[in-house]
Amino acid sequence: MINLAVFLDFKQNKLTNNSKSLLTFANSLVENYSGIQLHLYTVQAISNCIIPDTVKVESITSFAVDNHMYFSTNASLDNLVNHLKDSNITHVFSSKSILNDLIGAKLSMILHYELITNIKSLQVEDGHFHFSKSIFSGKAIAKMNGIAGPCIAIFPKGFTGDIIPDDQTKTKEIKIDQITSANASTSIIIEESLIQGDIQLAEAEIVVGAGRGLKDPQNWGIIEKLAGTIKAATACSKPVSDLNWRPHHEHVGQTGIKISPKLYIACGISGAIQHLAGVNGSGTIVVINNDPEAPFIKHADYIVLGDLFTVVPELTKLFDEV
Amino acid sequence: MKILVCISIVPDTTSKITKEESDNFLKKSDLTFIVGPYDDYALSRAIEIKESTENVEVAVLHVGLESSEPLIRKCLALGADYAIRINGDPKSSIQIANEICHYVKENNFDLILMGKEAIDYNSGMIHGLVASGLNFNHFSPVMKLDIKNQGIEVQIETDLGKSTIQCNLPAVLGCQEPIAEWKIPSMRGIMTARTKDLKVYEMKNNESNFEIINESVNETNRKQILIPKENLDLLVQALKKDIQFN
Repeated sequence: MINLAVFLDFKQNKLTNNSKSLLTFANSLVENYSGIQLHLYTVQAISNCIIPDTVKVESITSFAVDNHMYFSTNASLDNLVNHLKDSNITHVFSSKSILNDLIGAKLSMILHYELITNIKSLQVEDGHFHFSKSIFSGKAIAKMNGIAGPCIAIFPKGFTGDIIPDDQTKTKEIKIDQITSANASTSIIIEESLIQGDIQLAEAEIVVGAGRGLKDPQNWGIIEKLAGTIKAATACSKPVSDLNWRPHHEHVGQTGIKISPKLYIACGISGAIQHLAGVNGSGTIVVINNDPEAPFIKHADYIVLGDLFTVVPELTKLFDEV
Repeated sequence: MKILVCISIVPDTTSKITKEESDNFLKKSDLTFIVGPYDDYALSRAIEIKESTENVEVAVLHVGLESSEPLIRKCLALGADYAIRINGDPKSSIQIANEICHYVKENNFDLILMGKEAIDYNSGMIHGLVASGLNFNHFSPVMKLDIKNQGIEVQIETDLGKSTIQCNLPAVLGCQEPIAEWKIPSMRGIMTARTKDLKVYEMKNNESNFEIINESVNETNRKQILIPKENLDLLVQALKKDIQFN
């Protein structure tokens, strides 16, 4: 029997879309291969937990502290490690986030479990897990040898495993079992600043990015208006954040944030290879640029050749009418 | 204070990745290699700290083959005091992390810096694994680092925003911009780097149970549909077919 733990993320007590997809995928493994038992965990404080009715689990274990800092030492994970051991958990799935990466690495070292990230696909055969993962910032794919032993697998945001969920309108509330997490860290938080706004770039399903083609930081109004209309997060290219036109946390690319939204609209971004490395996981890419030679055009699904100062407001208007 | 900067050696960010059909792995022979860009930020910050603080020693460590030595020398030219190469061809993050842990256990460091991830296999796990293996404090991604009151003050990115944290040493940090500006080696640096110490040790464990058996180029075929700027409604219609707008 394989005991598979799925770590779920919540936002205001609601399962995030990434976690919902991952749970659907894990549940499909349970349904398709005999001998896998599903367990749910979360490292977030939640007051209730509602999951699709099709998932055959009746409780979730909450190891609840919402702060990154509290997991900065091995000792802070003691109770969780013991719980995983007592439950004979051999396989752990989570969705990529800063916190889940941090916990995944520590659990792997403490429990001596193999570790894999950026997963592209997973097949299970005779108790062996066959993973493939995305490498070279999405430019290539690596196939791993099948492993029978324990492992920790961190799936990228937006991972569905090509599983089309059954009707998930029927949901159920499950019991929350608390395990206490001691703050074993001697570190002290001096200052915290939370990202403002509802839509965080790394989580966003739609992103509007803009580059030097905007010419001046004063011109970002049209980008923000389009983003606001289609409930998108805003992003920018590296030159723009280097020039301090936009905050650093909006920088998408090889050395910035990597995003994989369902839709990415790039306005006035030429598409340097470093920027492409940050966005090539996007579902659909729209490029708005007045330069027909811009490298980004070869990597776009839809291309609008034109002046973004007229195209973007026009597009906003059309979306607004919908 | 002893600072260890661990570096990855990775294909240049502009590299075109190719593969010979008959091979199982990507073609590495045509690629230009560089020190990982995030590791470069970490090294630059370590050197800034050394230049502005008394009694700071900076060592550079790389787990890899001899071909990486010119790039390790470049790190010495930037201002690191000495370098360590752990010779071998590691197959996984865990393997590299274990080698770093072995070295640190025998050689005591106060602060271990590296990039938040290597841009070849993108796992971003080694700093976390090393911190756990050594039982050190751990933060990543770190955007600011200062030495304060025998410890460090770091600004980190979290899933919710940013936090500034005071933390004791020893610690392991995964770094990202804007922690420092990249540096270019000076002529004097390049000259002195030639005589700096580059120690080579063998990997303690060459075995990995979990490794890549096949690599392929990821071809994402984009639709490449040109929308006339006069007919933006076509774009809106096309997008609405694929995407749920709320």
